[in-house]
Amino acid sequence: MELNSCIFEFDEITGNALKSLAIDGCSRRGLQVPDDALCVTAPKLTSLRIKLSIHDFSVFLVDRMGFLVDASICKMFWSTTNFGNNVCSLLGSLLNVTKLNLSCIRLSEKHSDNSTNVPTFHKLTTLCFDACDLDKNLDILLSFLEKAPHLEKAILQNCKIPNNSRKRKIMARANRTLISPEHENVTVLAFQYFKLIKIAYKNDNIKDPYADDDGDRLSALPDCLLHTVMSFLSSRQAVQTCVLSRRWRGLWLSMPCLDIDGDEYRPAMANSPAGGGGATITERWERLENFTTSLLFAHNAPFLDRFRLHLPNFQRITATQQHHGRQMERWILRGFRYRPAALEIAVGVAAVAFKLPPLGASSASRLKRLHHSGLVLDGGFGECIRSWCPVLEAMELKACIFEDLKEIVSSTIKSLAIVDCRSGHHTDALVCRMDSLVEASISGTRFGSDFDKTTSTLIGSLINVRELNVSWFQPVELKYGESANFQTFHKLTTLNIYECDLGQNLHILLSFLQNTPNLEKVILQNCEISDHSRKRKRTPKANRNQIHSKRRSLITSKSEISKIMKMTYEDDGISDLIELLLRNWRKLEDHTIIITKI
Amino acid sequence: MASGSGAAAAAADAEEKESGSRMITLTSNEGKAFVVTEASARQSATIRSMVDDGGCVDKGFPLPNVDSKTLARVIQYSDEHGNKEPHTVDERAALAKFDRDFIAELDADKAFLYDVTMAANYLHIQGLLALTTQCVADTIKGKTPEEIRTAFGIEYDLTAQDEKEIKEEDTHA
Repeated sequence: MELNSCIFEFDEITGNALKSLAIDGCSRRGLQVPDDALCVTAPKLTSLRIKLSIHDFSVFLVDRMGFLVDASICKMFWSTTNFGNNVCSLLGSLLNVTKLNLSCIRLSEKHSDNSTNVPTFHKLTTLCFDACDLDKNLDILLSFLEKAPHLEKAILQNCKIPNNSRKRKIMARANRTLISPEHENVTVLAFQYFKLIKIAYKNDNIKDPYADDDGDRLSALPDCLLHTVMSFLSSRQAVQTCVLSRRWRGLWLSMPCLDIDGDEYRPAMANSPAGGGGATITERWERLENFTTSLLFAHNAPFLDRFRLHLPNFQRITATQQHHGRQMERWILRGFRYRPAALEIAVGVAAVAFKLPPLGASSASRLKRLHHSGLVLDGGFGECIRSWCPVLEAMELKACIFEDLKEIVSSTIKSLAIVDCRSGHHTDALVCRMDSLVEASISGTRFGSDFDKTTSTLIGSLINVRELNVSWFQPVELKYGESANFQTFHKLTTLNIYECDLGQNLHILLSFLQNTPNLEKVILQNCEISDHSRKRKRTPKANRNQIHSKRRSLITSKSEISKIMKMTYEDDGISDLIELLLRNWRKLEDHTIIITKI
Repeated sequence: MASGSGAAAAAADAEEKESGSRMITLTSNEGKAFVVTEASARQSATIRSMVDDGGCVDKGFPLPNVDSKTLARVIQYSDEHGNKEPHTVDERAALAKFDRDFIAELDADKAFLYDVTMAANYLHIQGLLALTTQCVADTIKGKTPEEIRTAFGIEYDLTAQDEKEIKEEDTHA
């Protein structure tokens, strides 16, 4: 039941089944008897909100509200009444409440003896004073604190605390010294959990001898914000904050991002405290091992936002000693158990490749972003992505080797990057089936002729992609006829080709253009158009070097549904370009071509 | 929801949102009103969800946890990020420069930096929160514990018992 701005002519509300009652800005007729109370009888009430207006009256709750959980009492104009008998007696019937809000109530000194009337709230866990005028000695607050044995949280918002001396003593009792704030506009936030009270205070214009104490407002920030700060640090540095003060002592145990960075143990960092100058590689490994193991096994957050294990420099050790590989496997498995939302594992391209241990079904349930580098990925990885990653959105694989990984299937992945990866010796080309794919980047740098075959198969499988980036892709042995195996990219609107050899007669570009009915934009940057020399094609390395030295045309082409091509280029190779276009005029005759020299 | 008029209203709504012509009033805890564009206000996920839930846009939004000085600074950020959408490389660079200058100014006044951080957290302005917390993290980076304590005025209050425990559990530190 809600009563808004009503004028009562009765003085009793009875409702045996009433669960929720709100009285807002109501007043009563006939104030001749100011002590006349409104009686409320509602044994099943669970929620009570009372806003008293200027025409103040008392409310008595007749039944001890056994079910009442949430109570809020607000006086709109605090000038008229103090924390007097009526509020006190009202509170007296709220014994079982777990959450209590008091707003705009003046807890005045005059009535401080009333504080002894504050009953014991056995179930009270949250107490909130909003815009209250706390009495001079904070007696009311203290009596609340004393009479609420299970209080977990006390929030004081916009409360006025008159300036006096005793306050500092009280706050000292609360394990913190409070600067004596000059009169009003003090915001005090207090959290009590058992005996520990943390107090944050704010006073913009404070310029008093205690100003130095004001420096530690950082520690007063809530845990979640300090955790956010820590998420920008490596785990090593984040853990080291535990020696700062008691506030920071246990924060790392629940930080939501773990970032284990082997680079911090590199010899190059010898002069840093972390590095361990002069230590042998084995000693450095031992330090890393010690740290990582104790971090992962002491850490107790239920979930992680990010788990990053970056060990680019220890492949030599893993190559020589199988033990280290097993250790890393344990760390990764341990990290998986925290069900990270983002997972980043970089092991470096090892001589003896490190195989990613299988992700369990539950460990991947929150996984949104995945970034693997230098790992061997097998069929089990493909199976995991297909079956156990319901929310995976982004995947980046860098310098990975696909061993028996034939396909990656996901209906949720929106962004895919495959950089510098290759398939193992007896593995077929990787195929990606991703229905929701929006953006894909495929690039390779170091691979020879077989890369192109697998790459064209890979690119050909990305049929749902809308934006495709291809770079450093040299179509050495790809014959024109083969390019026809691209399926139609119905959704592709943007095609970016960076630093590619477009092949003889632009056949790669043309085969893209022929299979992309909805293409809106093509950007070619620093691309090479190889002429015809067969020799060069057989030696791709030499060819790449020549891209830089010889001719480097910037061709930017935009086509409106692939009908208009704008080309800009910056050197004097225009005759070559025109010749090339002339050679392909049949395929391009539908297009308007604009050529600009820049 | 599936009714035709509902869909039309939603479309009109969407159009209005897109134009960003609506103005929204935010009120600080001191009662001072700030009028901002909807695009700017939508930088805050808190306000965005209230607007999208059909909240009382006309009445404005009281922000009892944010004071005027902080709110003014937060609005400076969300105006820059909400009202302009960077398309070109230059525009993106300009925005990045704005962020750098913005945080450099805040970094000089730590207490204010925390106020802005709290406000960004309360209003769920992810970009601003990342900017301010990153700034604090950058101050911590590469410092010894003593240097960190000095930088932030953290009082050393660990007992001998605590120190012993730390030594035992963190052989790496």
